[in-house]
Amino acid sequence: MAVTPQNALAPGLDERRARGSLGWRVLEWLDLQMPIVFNIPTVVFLFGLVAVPVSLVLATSFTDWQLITKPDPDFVGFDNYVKPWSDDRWIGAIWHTFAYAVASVGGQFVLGLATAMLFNRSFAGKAFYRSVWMMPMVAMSVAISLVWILFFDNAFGILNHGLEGLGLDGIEWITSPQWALVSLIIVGIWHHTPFMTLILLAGLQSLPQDPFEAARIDGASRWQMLVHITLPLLKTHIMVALILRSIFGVKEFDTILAITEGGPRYASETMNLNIYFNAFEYQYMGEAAAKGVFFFLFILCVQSILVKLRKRTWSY
Amino acid sequence: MHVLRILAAAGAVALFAASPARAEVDWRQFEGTTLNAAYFTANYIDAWFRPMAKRFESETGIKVQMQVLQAGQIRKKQDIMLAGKDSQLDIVMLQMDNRGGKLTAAGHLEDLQPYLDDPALTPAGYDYPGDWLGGCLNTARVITGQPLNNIVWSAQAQLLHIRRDLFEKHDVKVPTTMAELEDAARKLTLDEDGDGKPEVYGFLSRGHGRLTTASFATYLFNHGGSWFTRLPDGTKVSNLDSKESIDAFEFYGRLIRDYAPKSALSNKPPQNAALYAAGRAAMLSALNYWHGLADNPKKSRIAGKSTTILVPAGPGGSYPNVPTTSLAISKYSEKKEAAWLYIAWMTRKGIMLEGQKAAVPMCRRSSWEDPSYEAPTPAWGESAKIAADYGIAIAKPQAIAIGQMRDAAGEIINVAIRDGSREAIEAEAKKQAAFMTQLVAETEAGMDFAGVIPEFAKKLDGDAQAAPIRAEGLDKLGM
Repeated sequence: MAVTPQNALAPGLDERRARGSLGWRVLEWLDLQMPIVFNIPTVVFLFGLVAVPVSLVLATSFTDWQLITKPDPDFVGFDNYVKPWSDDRWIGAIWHTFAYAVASVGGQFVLGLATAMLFNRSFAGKAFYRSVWMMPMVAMSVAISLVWILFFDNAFGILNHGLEGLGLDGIEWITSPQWALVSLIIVGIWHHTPFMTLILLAGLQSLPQDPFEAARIDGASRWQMLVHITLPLLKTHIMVALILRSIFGVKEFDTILAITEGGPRYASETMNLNIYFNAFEYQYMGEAAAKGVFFFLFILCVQSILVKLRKRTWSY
Repeated sequence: MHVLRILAAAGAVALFAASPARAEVDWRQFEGTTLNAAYFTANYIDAWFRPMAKRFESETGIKVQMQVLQAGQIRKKQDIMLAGKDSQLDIVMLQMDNRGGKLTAAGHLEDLQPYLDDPALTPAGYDYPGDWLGGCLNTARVITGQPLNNIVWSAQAQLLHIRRDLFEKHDVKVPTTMAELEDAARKLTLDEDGDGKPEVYGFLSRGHGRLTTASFATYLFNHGGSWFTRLPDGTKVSNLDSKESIDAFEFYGRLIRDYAPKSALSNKPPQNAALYAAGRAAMLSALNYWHGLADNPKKSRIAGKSTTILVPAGPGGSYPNVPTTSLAISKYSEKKEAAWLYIAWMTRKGIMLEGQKAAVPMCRRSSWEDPSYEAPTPAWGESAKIAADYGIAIAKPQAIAIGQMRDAAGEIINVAIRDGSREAIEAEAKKQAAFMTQLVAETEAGMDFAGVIPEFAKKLDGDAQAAPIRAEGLDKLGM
């Protein structure tokens, strides 16, 4: 059977004339450079939506651009990178970001693991309860924030009503500098624990059963099985959940803005709220851009540490 | 000959009458144009702007596309569009005491005087500023030498809403001084079932961060304090650490701490108004348009029981706070003449009277004095009109860096409410005043940013202070 070569011309096409034409040369180049051609849309997309904005942020961070009052900015060198470090508010914002992320993700992990283990068992109505448990994850941030504001109300809120019912004093949840960040952490745990549950439950359901059966035969307690079998086997899922939630925890914005606006007295202001206020309330675009670069580096550090930890866990 | 002279005279009169200066404005001259307007969410949008936009379109053939967003969002949108010199934005709604100075300094707003002077664009009987109330005109210019770049139309005022029925039932003197206000707040904090939790709180006002400046301003100025002052050499500095200002912080903090529900610390104006409408407060210090909620039998438990009076006078006098709203034209609009036609049409006598009747307090004197207009309550009518006539726009510390200034003032108020000791307030005021003064030096160098220029300001006397109370027949209470 005769084999038609792949570069054969269509019947009737004059090969010599066709090879000399521009169309032929373009088609030939496309054929040879196929990997580049297919990557062009991705490169254009990334360039337009990532490289250009990041370059603009970097360029802006070296200027004194103010949105309304200084539309023609001057180059100010590294001023915007130096100035924030003498600002107590910015230092406070870094600490609040760190505290919020660690506390809320920690709470989500403990509760998420407990509920994942619960939903990994069989009991009547499990599908229903699991659906109810997942509801906060799909609720809109601003909507749930408004509801939580009602819960936190000093005079008429359900939380203080409960505390007073127990004979305790009510708490100034979102109006005192001492409790504002704690209140936000509570909302963060409530809102995002279902996500943690979802990932850890998927992990639990994929674990092999042999090690558990062997442990049971050897007389291991439930606690020993949890610490020595379940958690080590679940490490990869735990790390994925922690990495994702930590990044999102550091970036948390909408609930904080809706509930406390970073107050009172900036006690719950995180880095991205500080940047938002600088950029869009105070309109110091240059300074906000420099802080945005710091924020990006902060997230990069968190991500790098967690990825390193994940690699270590995978090498067991 | 005599007949010829008569004919000549008649011809001259006819020619004069037909001259451009006397011609009526051709309202359909920009028929087919579409204008883009950026407005705040407020009760007047549905009550007045939307119905009038339909009528304007049918009378002029000009369509007005309104983008209505919450105030904080629309301000940012306007700022970004103006900074980007975006020609898509035609009409700008703004409060001159808030961003007016900043937008004026940046030159983003069109000078309206040539349009106002053009008989083809402004009706003959428009009567600006003749028919405008003094308090409104006080707010129109904030920088010395500023051109007329806005038409101020809304005379919302910060007033004291009071429960008439509670004052009558407990025979409490309706306050005209700060001392009487505190006394009334004490007497009307009512714990009727004796469980230690008042069913009715004596006083309610803003206590939440930067928003507090708007309601605190009258208390500040009435105590003799102010946001800023001028040193003998003309330097503008913060005045929030003066004795009078500290007195005001201490007084306002005590009122909220002792006579308001703790919710006041987190409440925004709508939540405070809802608490008042639920019958949980005897007095509410807030904008006058919240009377509409309190008086709505479908949404309020106190319908027919509430009215408004002026915020009581203090040691420094009485300065009604009128945070007015204006309409302006973007410098970068490509339809400036059509945009002016819209502003001129919206602020005509008859159209503003329609708003006045829809419970939107207007800046035209004739709207208040029209025989067909009836105020929701006699005291509301008196107090709102006096505020619009005598008031000044002091709701915010007017400066280029206004966002930071409001935050700084909000910090002092937070300390005044939560701590309340004179030493703590003084320490915080000193810290924030130094910060504000430094900000002024950094952002207003070489700029004559006066803040609101009260060139039409009139001193309010005791008789005017008590006029709303008399109008409601409450002046004999507590005697």
